Amino acid sequence: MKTSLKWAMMLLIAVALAACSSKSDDKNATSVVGGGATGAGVGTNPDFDDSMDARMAKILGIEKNTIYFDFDRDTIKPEYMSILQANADYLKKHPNARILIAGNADPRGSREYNIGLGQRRADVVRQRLVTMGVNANQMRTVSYGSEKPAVSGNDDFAYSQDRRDDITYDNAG
Amino acid sequence: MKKYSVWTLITTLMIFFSSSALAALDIQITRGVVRAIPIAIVPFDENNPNSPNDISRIVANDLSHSGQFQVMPQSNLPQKPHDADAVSADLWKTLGLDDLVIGSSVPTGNGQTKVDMTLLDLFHSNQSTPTVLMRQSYTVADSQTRALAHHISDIIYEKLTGEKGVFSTRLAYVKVTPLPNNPRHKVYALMVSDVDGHNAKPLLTSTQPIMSPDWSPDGKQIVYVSFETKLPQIFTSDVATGQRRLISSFPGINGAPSFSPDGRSLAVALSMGKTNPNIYTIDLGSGRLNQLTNDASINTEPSWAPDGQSILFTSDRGGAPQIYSIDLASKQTQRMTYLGSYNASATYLAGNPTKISLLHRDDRGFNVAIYDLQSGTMQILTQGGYLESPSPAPNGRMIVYSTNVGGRRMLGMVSSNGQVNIRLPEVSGDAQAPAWSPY
Repeated sequence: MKTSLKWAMMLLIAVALAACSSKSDDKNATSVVGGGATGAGVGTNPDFDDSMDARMAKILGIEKNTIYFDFDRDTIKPEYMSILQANADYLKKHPNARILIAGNADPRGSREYNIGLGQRRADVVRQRLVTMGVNANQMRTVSYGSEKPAVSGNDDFAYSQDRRDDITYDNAG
Repeated sequence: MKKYSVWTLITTLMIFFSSSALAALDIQITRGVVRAIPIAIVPFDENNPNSPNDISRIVANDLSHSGQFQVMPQSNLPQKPHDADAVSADLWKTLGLDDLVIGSSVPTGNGQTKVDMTLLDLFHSNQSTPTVLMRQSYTVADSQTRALAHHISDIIYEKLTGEKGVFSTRLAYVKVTPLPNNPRHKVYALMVSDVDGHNAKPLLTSTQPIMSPDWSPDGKQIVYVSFETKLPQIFTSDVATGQRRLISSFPGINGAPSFSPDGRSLAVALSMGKTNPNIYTIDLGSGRLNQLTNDASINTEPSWAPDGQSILFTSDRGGAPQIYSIDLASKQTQRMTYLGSYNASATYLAGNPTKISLLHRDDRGFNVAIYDLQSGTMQILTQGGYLESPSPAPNGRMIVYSTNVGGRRMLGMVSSNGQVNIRLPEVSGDAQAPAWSPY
């Protein structure tokens, strides 16, 4: 019973914190995942909102801001150069724009080793954008390793979808 | 107002206490047992023989999953006595039984149950009367009968094998649940459960990944990686109160935290704004960093030797991931594994300083193996091919892992002799990155 009380206290604190943050300018920081796995409160959570990604893809004139990699490789294939060029042009024109380059690996093997593989893929794209003239301060990188698989499944097609960089705009500039 | 002016979208985390999140985990034995101690557990309460909280049933499950016991199926029991006087030793001996557990569990009204348990030795009794090895009596709250059953399993295990049982220990793991209306997005929960998967409760939930939980040596804290800001940070959480502490938030990778055996420091993988992570230790008191490796390969998954003098880690400095060991004082590094093109996720097995559990890839995929550092032999324990995150029990006799079953990740356990392999299926979502608690 004592434990339940402690939990209840912590819940109150969590709700109070969420309420406080909603008063700030940062409307994106107000989300609470109510009830965890039930997915309540989804509508208000920016993490579950894909509209920015779709809007930016439209502005950039690309279908999807994603670059795929071959097995165990971090080399950028020629067919993805147009996507990088579109991002580079936009970022140079909008110096306040900020992107997050997220590297990912397929789900096989060690999760933490896959974090290392994903970071290589994220940094290789960042480096290429720098070469294209983008200010390094406009870019952050992260590796999600195999924690955010693009599709579920354990075959070569699924793996090819998982080995990727997702470029998202934190700030359209 | 700039609508997207935030660098960091703060994901509000909520610790919640819903007991309805209990996972009903049933366990499947996927491989048989040989050379195990033959034992029978007579039902304690014949009125509720199929109750999941029936003590004799829980004890039977615990012992059979350990890989050290062959438990006689209830349907084969020749008699169902509650008292030692009623046991016919000859009747049991002809069935090849060494040991017999009898007892009773009787509700006493006021929300409590009285439990009696007797462990009988049949093998060494040359008379028709069995020898009493142990006799215990308990009165517990009804809510504590599962915990008591695991305790009884522990003392039987210790009496008959001479080693401590692990049935009262816990698991930490990450549960990933897709949103029903938008399965592209997931909810990540850091879970703590009993070692048989029962009593699972979330310690933390997030809209961003949670990774790599590891227990403090006293079992009171769990360290883990959280991407709640979209970038990785290392936190500890108090298991009882949920109170969190931010440990590491350096640029780039903050990963693979591992408590030192004395609980005073962590070994971690940090990339410090560069591409490749290196191994560091962080003193939890002073926050002081000590860099151990320094090269441009992936160096991750540090895991302490039991004496705290050296650390195992995974590195692809040789071209493919292999296990290395670094001495903390001299910083001398030694490659430990040569067999196969992929070895990772290594941990020393308790009670055996020459053996490590690891993730090993061969033509059958990724499996859990035990590598003997002295003889150089690799014993592959599983066959699934999609395994990850092996974590040995504190007595070194079992290893918990995550595997892919029908497109979902589930936890499994394999005995270190490879003879028992069980699964702990989750009702929904994926169960991954398990970590076995200390005693």
